[in-house]
Amino acid sequence: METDARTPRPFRLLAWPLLVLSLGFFGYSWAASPPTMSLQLLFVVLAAALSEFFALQLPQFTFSLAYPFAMSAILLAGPAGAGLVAAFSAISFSDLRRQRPASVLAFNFGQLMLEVCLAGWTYLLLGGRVMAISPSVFRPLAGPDFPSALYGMLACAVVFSITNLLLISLGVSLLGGARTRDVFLSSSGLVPTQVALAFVGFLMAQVLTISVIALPLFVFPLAVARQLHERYTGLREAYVGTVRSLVGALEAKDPYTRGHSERVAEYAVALGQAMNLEASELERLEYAALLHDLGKLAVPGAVLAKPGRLEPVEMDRIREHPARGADMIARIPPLRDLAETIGQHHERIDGGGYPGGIAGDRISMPARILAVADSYDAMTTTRAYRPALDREGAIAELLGGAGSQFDAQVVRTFIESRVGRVVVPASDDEVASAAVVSVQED
Amino acid sequence: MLNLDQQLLGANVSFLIDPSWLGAFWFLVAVFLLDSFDISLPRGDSTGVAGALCAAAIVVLGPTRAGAVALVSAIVTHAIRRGTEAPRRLGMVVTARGAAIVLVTLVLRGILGAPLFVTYVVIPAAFLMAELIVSQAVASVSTGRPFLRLLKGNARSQTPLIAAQWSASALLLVTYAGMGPWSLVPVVALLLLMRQSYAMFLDIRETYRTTVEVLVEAAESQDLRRVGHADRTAAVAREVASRIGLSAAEVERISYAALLHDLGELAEGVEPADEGQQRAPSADVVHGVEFFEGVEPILRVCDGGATGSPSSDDDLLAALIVALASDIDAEYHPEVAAAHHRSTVDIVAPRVTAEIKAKAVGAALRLGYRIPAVG
Repeated sequence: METDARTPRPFRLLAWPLLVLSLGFFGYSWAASPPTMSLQLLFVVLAAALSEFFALQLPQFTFSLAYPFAMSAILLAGPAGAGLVAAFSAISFSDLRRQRPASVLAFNFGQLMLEVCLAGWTYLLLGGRVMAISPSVFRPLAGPDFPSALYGMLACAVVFSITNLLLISLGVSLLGGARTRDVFLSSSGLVPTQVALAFVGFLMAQVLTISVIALPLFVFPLAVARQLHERYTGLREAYVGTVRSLVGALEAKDPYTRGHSERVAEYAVALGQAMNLEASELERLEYAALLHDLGKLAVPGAVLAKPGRLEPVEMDRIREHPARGADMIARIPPLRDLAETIGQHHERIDGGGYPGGIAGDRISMPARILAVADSYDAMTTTRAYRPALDREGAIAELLGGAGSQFDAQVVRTFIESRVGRVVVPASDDEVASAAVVSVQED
Repeated sequence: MLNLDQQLLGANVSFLIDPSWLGAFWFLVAVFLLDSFDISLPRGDSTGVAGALCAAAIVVLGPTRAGAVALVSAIVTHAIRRGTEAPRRLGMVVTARGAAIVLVTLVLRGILGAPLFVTYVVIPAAFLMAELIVSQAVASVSTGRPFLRLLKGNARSQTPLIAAQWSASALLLVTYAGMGPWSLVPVVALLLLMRQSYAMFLDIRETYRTTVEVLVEAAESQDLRRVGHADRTAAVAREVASRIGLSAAEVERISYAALLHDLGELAEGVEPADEGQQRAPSADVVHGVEFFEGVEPILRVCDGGATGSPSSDDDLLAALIVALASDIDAEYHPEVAAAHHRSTVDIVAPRVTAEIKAKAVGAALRLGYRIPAVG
């Protein structure tokens, strides 16, 4: 086991008391409502432990599949029975193999134990009953048990899911430095899945008590749901990389802007973090920045790389790019909301921008951030029509445009948080050497 | 109703778990809920998980009440969503469900007297298979695509979901006797869980597809003559690949290759290569991008690169389909021919066997396309 010294102190201060509290609660549950030890309960405990081999790896944490088994155990043997499931599945072989720090193991054990015991008591207090009468005699749920048993099940599932969400958000944020609110919001989408899985667990308990032979019937639905979810998660994780590669390849036709979108994305995310945007807003900002010049892909390379003054028709084509990009992005359903940001990234606070000429608060905050990030990168890289400015020169330009071209608060944050230093601008070696100053816009 | 079921099934209907109107009402609520959450597929039809409950309803309620539940839910869902529009879509669902219930009633007659557990296992399987077969037969008639190939493709892609529905249906039958209609609650939760996972997976795949389409179209817009070429090439390639009877996964791989086959030139922003010149390689652009791992070998062949290295027959067939589709589009759109690179078929054809050529060209001809000469 890895030394605990490397885990943050606030996390340790949460993990160890949580472990003690959960063990106390488990002990109380055992004393107040001792579980009937049956083969069915043993099966559930073993299945839960084995299910940890198939746990779903999500970006910030692991989604345990022991949860529906714990719900089964609540119906079969009460809160203490569910506690047994938690005890045998909270620490997996992979945890031990990967030598996780002791406080992480304590947190995982404590939170699962606390949640299942709490959920178990909720079920009992709201009218649910335990099925096991003796180790070999069970009374499955029947018509007269409803609807009170259903209320108990629903409350039990909700209590588990919400406490799980709160504790995981707190734990992940203390451990990894992410904001609790961000982890909470990004994980809250799992609550309906957890509630549905709870009902699968209840169904499993019913089947265990009436027809054990039907148990394999659970394998297909759970395996299919898990496999589909895993493939979804994998594709979702790879999406930004795929977009980045394609955009990078397509904008490479203009040697002056090669890598521009990727750098703008890095500036924009750093600036968004400095402005305390939520994780989901930062993710949207990153997508918008990567795709902000989508409309420019439609502009011929010869126009983009033209060293001299542009003809009016060529300038019009360039000026169309935010609106074209917005139209294009609107065709991708999950990215539709980025159309506004992309369509406004060349608007100015004083209303002198394009394509809409809108001003002030009518320009969305992500678009204002994007405008600063985009302009800073454009100024610090060599273009066909002018050489690159150094950092100080670019910052002076931003300050000059604060309140007229750019949002003054965004510029101030950009400078104060030294965002311009987080990304290395393209060097002159990476671009062609042509450099004739003109009025062409970025 | 019971009399009708007695006539349909013979006198012995004692195995029916709950042949009451109240039971039918709760089934209707549950089936309607699942029908409301069906998943729209890119090709215009939809799929869902309500079949699991329709299948179980036959054994719980009897064929007549089950039929009423299944059809009423389909009609009401359609009426709420689309009013009187798209009657063909409603016709497909009603035909598939109605025919499946009739077929399963015949199966049920055949296995009367078998142990209950056999009935619980056989009937849902028979219903779900019958529904798939009938819906593909209807689709075949309306689209003119070969029935067996359509069935094979869909059976492959939907087998896991059908198997999962079959399990849920059997679980409902096992628990209904004890819990009554309350057993619908956990089973619906299980079905919604599967539905949600499937919908999320389809959504992200659709996101990838539209993203690639939009990016390629944006790049094509540099030269207005090329706009839409990649999209149309992908559509023809999908048609040819489906006609040959390739799996859904292979059709998707070919579709991406078709969308990206000119990516090299678009990324370079250069004029199309002349005869004898090497095309700007599209495969290099997607190299290292995990999502396009399967597409890269097809693009490699279309680029005319790596001629010394062996390509699998699958990759060669896929590349020839993409090449044919690209040249067919150029044949029908002179502006594309004017702006387009040299014939892709000319690059790919020398590398493929006569057997592969016959397969791809035969399918394109059967679809009625005028095709360019293939070496």
